Amino acid sequence: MKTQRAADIVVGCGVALFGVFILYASTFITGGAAHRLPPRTFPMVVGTLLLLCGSGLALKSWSIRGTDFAIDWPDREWVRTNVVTLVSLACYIALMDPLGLPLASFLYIAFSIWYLKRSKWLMALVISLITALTSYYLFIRLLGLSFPAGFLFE
Amino acid sequence: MGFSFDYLIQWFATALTWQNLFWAFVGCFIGTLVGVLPGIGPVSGIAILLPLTTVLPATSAIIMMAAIYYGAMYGGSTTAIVVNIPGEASSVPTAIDGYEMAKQGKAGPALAISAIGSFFAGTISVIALTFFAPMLAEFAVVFGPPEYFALMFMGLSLVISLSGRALLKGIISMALGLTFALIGQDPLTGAARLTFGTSTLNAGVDFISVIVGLFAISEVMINVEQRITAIDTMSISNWMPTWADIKQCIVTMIRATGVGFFLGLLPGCAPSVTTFVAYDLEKRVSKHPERFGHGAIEGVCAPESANNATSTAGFIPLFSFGLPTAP
Repeated sequence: MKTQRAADIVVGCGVALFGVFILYASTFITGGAAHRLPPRTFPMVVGTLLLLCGSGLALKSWSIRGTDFAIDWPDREWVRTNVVTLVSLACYIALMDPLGLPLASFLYIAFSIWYLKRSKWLMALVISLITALTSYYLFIRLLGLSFPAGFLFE
Repeated sequence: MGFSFDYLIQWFATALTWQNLFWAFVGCFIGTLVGVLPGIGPVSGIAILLPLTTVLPATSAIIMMAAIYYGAMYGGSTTAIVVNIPGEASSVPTAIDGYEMAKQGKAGPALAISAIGSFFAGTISVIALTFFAPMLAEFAVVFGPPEYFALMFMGLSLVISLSGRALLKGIISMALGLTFALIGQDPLTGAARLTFGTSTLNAGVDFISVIVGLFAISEVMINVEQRITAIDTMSISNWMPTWADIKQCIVTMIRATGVGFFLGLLPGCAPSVTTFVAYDLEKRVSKHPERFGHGAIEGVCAPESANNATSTAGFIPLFSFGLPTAP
């Protein structure tokens, strides 16, 4: 996928496949037989729309002959940084229940700042501590939102 | 109860007591604070802060709740402009041009025009609410299924003008959005749609979570890609819009107030729809539509004005017939 055309073909095929999946999943929607339009109607319409538009995008991009735009893909370091950022975010969400919002936030923010700005470990600790305490007092204590407080604050 | 100036004087006498003004200020302040927090929109804000109003007399409680609502509606624009994370669905169009303005060092003028537009639309709408509420309420209930179908059709067709030259990609985005909106129970029959047997998905996908996730995560990724580790600072002289900016936005405010107010009268027509309609209208009538999406100040003013006009207009069917225009 070094060019815009190739990327559009891949995206178009992906969307068309997703449309097929939605169409297939729609066949399992049951109930509402007494209604003129059963509940599967609209999902089927949307699935068909995705299939048609995805195929259309792929075919249109495939048929283009002429100037193509090269995609300025980021370097390997960016890919690694982004993967680490996304994985740490996933870990943050996963740790939210067992550790609670304040502790999970502390760990996530401390790690993210340290990872993105290696020399600033003390700043990372201070900012993450302030954020964790603020999020606890603001969201859990003051606003009473249903976030897990964790074993430290229960 | 018909309208008369005696009643109006009486209403002012009630509303302008120092106690009610104080609660209105407190409501606006807390509402704005809550609205600034991404993911906590006006509805959640009112739900969270509802206990505060239970200790007040009925009139003060209504005033405070309305103030919290307006404050939260306005507060949502702040994060949309400054960090590209809309606080609620109605702030999504504000983020398009507001964040571009912020990147150009014009976050101050964007925030200020958002406040000015909100104030203008809110004031005009309150005047209209005061004088024309019974008449407008009758207009609102005349809207039947065919009219709602036409309105929703128009709403979805906005994707054509908002997509620009990438029409096919715009329709794909719309279809993907519709797919996620379909998840959950069918509103007519109660049948589970695309839940794949999991009870968690029965309630559907929370729209606020989707927009906060889409905007916030992508913004984090962009910052990581561009290795942005510090927020740009700007001089204090740039915090207010110029007179030229305000002049440019006067007609926009009037138009967006009209759009927001009349669509806001319709039960079921949420601010998230009216802000997009106002943004699209502004783009269509602009002499330079190419500026939209690249930091056009009208692109911030239009949705924010429409947002507040809709909030006020929503009180007409609510108080007249008990029909809320939005959750």
